[in-house]
Amino acid sequence: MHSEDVSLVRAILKNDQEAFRKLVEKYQRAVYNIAWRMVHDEEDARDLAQEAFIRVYRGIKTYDANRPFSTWLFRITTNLGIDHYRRRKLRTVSIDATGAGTEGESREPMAIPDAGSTTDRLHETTSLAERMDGLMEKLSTDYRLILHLRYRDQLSYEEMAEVLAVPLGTVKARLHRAHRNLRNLLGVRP
Amino acid sequence: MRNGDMSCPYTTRDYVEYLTAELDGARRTSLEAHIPGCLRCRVEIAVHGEVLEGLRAMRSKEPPADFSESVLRALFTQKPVPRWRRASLFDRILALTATQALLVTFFFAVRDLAGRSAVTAWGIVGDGVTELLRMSREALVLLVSLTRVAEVMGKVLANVGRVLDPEALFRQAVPIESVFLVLGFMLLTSAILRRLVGQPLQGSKEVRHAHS
Repeated sequence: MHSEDVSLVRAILKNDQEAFRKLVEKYQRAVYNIAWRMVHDEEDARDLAQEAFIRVYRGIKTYDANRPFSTWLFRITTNLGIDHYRRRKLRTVSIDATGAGTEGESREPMAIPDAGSTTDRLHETTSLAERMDGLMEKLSTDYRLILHLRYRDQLSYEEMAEVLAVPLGTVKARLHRAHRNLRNLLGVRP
Repeated sequence: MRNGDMSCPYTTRDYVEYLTAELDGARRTSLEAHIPGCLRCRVEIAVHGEVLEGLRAMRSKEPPADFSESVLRALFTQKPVPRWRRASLFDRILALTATQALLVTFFFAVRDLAGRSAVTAWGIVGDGVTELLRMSREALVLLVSLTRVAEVMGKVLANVGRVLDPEALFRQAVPIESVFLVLGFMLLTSAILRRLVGQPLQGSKEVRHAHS
């Protein structure tokens, strides 16, 4: 996959527009979804994804062929998403503010669930995927994005650290906080 | 997250990494030995298992059907550029200089022609045209020389840049060329103005003296 991307990039450097079209078609879904996870608006996501590809084209000379192209592209996209967030001052609900305390500080003792009750709840009215989409919307942008990168785009911790421009430890901590918050949103108090 | 049970040392991270098979050997063995006797851990693992299943089942949104086309359109469809902006920098400088020279010459010609006889006037116009042609030739030579200097400087910088940092130095070289061109334009303009203002139409004075 990486060598294919590098070949396309080389062709783009020789002003091959068709190669750029192939690159856009290959990554448009991933980029659009990252953008959508960050801005939660279809029009904004489209604009943001389009801007990401335009920046890729204009800055293609700065791409380091020793690194995965997808990581570079996703980083450009997330940076644009962060800029968009700052500009629009989107109001997102931080689960940290509403959910349980920090790691290791849960104050409420948990009751014992009935076997299989969580599965029943998840499938009660909507499919698991729909339910998860609904829960994801309640997470802050940081958590939505990191869960998306991990489970939709299947990036490694190292790749996520590069895309998000944060240390590896931060990636792991953020990911596990996102898991914890999502688990709390399920509201399992058996 | 601890379970609230102080005897249970496992956290969300352990449960998730256990489920994704990322938990290291000793911790994993310890958790596996702990699970059968801890209902809370069994519950947590079941719940996080559901969360993981949900995350893996997350649907992705389809980008708009014309997305790639719109990206290419935005990049490669250029707005029509006015004709004057399509001209090269050299052409624009030349056109501007010529216009300026014509205007200045016209000003002095009108001033000198005022109140003169037809023969004198034609003499002044003839001298003016000769002077203008001579100045244009000198201006062109000066401009070409300056452009060549800028071109050579650009090449030198580009060669130095190849050894050091090609992109950064190339970017720096471009403005330097522009600076040379602007400097050339300024020198040229000042030369023309000095000639016109300092020694206004010497030839025409001689013509006027001859006729008077």
